[in-house]
Amino acid sequence: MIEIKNLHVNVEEKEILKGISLEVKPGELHVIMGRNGTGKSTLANVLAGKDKYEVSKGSITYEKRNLLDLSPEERACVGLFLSFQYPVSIPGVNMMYFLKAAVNAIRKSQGNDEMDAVDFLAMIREKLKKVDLDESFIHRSVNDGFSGGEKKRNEILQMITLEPRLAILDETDSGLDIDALKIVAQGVNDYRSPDRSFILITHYQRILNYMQPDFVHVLMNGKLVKSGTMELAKELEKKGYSWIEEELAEAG
Amino acid sequence: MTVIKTIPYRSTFLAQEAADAWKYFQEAGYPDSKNENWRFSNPTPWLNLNGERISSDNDFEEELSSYIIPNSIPIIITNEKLVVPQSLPEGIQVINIDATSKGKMSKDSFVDVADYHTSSFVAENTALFQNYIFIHIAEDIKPEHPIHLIHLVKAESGCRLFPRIHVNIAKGAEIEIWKTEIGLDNASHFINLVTEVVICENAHLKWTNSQEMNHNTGHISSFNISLKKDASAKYNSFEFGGGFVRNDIHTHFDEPNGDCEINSLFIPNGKQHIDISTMVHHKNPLCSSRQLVKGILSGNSTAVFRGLANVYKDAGKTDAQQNNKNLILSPSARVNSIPQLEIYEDDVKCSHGSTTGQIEEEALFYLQSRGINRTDAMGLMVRGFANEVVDKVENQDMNGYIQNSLIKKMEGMIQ
Repeated sequence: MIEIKNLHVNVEEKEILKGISLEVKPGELHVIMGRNGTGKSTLANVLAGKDKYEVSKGSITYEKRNLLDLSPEERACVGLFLSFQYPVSIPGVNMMYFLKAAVNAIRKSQGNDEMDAVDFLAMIREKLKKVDLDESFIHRSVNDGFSGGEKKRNEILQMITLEPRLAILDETDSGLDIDALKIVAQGVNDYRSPDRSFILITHYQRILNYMQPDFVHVLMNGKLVKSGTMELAKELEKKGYSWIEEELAEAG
Repeated sequence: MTVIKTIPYRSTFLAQEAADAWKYFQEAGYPDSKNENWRFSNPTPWLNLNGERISSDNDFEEELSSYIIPNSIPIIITNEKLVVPQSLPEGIQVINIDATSKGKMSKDSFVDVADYHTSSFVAENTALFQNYIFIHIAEDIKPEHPIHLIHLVKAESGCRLFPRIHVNIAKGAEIEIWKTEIGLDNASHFINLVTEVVICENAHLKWTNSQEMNHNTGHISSFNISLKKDASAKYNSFEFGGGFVRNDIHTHFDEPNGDCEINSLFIPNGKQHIDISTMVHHKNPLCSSRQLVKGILSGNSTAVFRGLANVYKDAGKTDAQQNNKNLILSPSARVNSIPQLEIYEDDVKCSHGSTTGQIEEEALFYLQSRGINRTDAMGLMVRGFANEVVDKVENQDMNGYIQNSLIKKMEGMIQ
């Protein structure tokens, strides 16, 4: 699905990612954990194609394409999706309008006919139910005046509507109460399938109580310093991150 | 002061007013940049000073039908003149008073709203207009459909037009009026338009204006509203066209407990210059006014917003709000925003604000990351910005008309 090789990324001349390698196969859910400021969101933004992130070394191959050659919208059209940590509010732009434009832009790029208003409405009603949102939701402006929980559910709504093959979830669990967290986790679990992959970036082990990750990686100082399974996440929850630092120091 | 070519002022209908106005105009002359109210707008190149008054009656017949909006009462104005409609619903009277028809109307049946002692252009119009388009809505009349004034302009290049419209809404009446101002040719025109609206006790008006003149036209408009007791006005203006546009919107609370809402959207591109100037005169207590003025500028366009809420002494419990937001799409476009409050009374609630900015990159990236290309994403955001004003037009037919005009205008504006 995606292969990241020795990725180095600078932001305003400062090296944030210092050689990341990661392969995600179809159907896998990878979790990247780490403290604040270790480069988690930088990785998410580079994958989605945000500018001002300079890749100085390394490569990202997505389904045999060089991902770095693609614009953000092209990445979305080939099946990549980023659930934002802080979704931006866009006053005046109606959710329905926005979602329909996005769905049709992606359909068009794949050679499909655009969806008309009637079909779209029927489709979006089903999706809204899955994230426990009311129909009035799509008549509001994008993220404008949304609560923290609504913003994150909106990201999941967009994911299940746009049907990407690789979803990067950047701190989608942060700031959620337990009910909202369950809804978000359920949305992701329902969406899992053998040909869809996930990279879940998180601070806490909490959301993993509701999910079954295949791999867990620890990001520290711009590098993936340790990889494991769900057991690693549990250990981190119990012992924090400092033991890994100590381990690294011992290894020299 | 600019030298004024002498055109004989009118000596028949409203003869005394014409003489007074002409005298004021001769003394004051056209405004220049030394006049604070015109500091950022220079009308001089657009005045067509050597041009003639509109003379011939052009044939508009074939064009009329395509401008009609469904579910409305169309009334056509060609250049300065009313095309008298065949029949109108009961209680609506629309007449064209030819300036040569002496004394057809007593002065009591209308009230001066536009003040020719403070504006050269209003004075010039008051002295020179040849047709007085008079619309009267009788007491307690509430027509089912809006009146649609279709103002078409097609004339010799270099000509000068002085349209004059007076609307009287009698006690208890409720009316919605649309005006679409459409340039049918590409020739240079100077238009000096004065509109007066009197809203009597407990009468209510909704007015939506769409200005779509050609880019070689200088369009100076003065829109004057007088509100009596318990009356309300909602005025929406959309400035799409014109090369040089000045729209003065004056609201007078002449009696207590009036309510006025002004919404304006101006969208200059290319070399267009659009100047929106609002003045709300809170002369009486318990009146409220809300102004929302938004601009979207691209190309080398320039714009001005000048808004004044003037709260007179003893106008207690005044509520005056004013908000101006501008979106700049091109590095060479420029807007000057001058929000002002003048308050001579303590017991008031007043606010004003002004912001000017560009499209937010964060929001653009968000939309792009969902598969929408940059141009379309910008289009969505610009329309989103405009919609706050467009959606003030509640009537769905007119809302649709404005949406379409907006889409047409935006084509080529976003790169």
